[in-house]
Amino acid sequence: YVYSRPPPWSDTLPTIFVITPTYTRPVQKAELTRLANTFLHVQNLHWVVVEDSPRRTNLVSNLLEKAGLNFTHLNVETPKSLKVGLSWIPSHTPRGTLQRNLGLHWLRNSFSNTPPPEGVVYFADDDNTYSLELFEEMRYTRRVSVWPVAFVGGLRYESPKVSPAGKVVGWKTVFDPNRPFAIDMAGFAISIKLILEKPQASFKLEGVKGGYQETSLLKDLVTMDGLEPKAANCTKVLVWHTRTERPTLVNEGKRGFTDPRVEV
Amino acid sequence: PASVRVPPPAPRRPEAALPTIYAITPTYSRPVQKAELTRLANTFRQVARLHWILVEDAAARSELVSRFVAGAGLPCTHLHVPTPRRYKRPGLPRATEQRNAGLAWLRQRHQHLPPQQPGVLFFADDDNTYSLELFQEMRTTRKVSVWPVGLVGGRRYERPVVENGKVVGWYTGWRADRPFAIDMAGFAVSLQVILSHPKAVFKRRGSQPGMQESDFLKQITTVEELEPKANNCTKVLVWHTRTEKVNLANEPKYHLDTVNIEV
Repeated sequence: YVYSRPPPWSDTLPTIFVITPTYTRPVQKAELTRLANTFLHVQNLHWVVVEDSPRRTNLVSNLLEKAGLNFTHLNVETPKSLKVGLSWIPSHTPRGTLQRNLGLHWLRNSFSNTPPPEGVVYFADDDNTYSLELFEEMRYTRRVSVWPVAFVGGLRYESPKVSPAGKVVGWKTVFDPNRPFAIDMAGFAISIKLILEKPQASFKLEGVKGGYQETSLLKDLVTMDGLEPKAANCTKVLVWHTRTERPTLVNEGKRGFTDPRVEV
Repeated sequence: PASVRVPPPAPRRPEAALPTIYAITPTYSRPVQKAELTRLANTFRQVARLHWILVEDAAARSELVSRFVAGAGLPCTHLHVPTPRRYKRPGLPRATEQRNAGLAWLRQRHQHLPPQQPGVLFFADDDNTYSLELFQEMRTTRKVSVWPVGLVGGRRYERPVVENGKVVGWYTGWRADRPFAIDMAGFAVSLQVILSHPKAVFKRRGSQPGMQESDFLKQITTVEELEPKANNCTKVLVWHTRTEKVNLANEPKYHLDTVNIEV
């Protein structure tokens, strides 16, 4: 087969490290496929796929190998419960947290002894939709850049509030706009330099209120007035927080009807 | 300063005789429309010689889709035809008029072109997911080709049953007794067959819900003639994904934003 290849790697273009947590469910292969189809357009993109799994699965391994992208394949399982003393308490770690942190850890490890490339880190969930323009907007981030995200917070889009001088001064959201960073995971990118400068900065695992995951990371990296607004001063929507319906598999029955060896 | 121009794709070997793939996509206005078209375009732009026929369910071309088409980055024909109100009931087949408009455009266009222009068409709903391998498979369609579809019919996948390279039945979760028990995403038709069957269209009158594909294929082919693809129909290369309806509970009725931002 002739698979498409991404544009040739350039030594002068900043690298975009995309960290994608993913987990096994029927639509997983479809989601990763259409994501790969998008990423294949983006020059100097390195995809860090982190499975929520005790082992790297064949499905994801094969997909990554065939896709033609530069990639790193990691895995870490989110525990369903945590042992505290003699008892087990349910783990409240939000989905994707351990995986994103592992991605950051890998990045920091990779460049502990070698000079890091110019570039950014972006957290891309596997069911969102990304325009190609978004990647060019984030590519030249100095510290932390931000932009609007569609379909979050019960709105058509949420957006940073940008002053006429081009500085972020607040958040246009209905849900808890007074959060230090009232922004969705898909709405910001962090320069590699900053990630390496602040090795302690990571997503908090426990005790994070709904909507505060992003803040738990960003508060150790930047202040509001240090943010760089992108997408025409945050007036264009270049990423959509789409969610995919769970398919009804009623006809599989209790034991499964279709051949499990046929990968879906 | 960040450049928003997308770098050109890596040069491919010249494929002068490559059949053109026509993707007929009905689409309609709703919050996720632009997102769906965007990620579909990102896939289609990886496919050589793909011509996208986008048909809006609308009385006029919308600004959103017109703007989108202008920047889509692949050859695109923008059509529109509104579904009559009486057909907009749950349970009735959808996108019939739009798919037929796509067929009509192709037939009209090839009235005057040399008849041997090779091409293959398929119906690409805007919320499905397509692997790049699927297009390799469908490009060699001589008449009508078929393959499995993931996440449809209440199952992980549905597929034609193949024996000795021929379709002998249907592995499906719903009404396997249909002459062609296959989803819209599970087949492609050569342009030649479409042109040589000028009356073959998707029907409304006399077509039961769920029978659209079967009633259409009945007019242009037989089960015997079908060409199984995707390794004798054992690989899933397309998924019938559906996107969740967006939660807009926090959109204000009054005091709207000061700017008008397209989503």
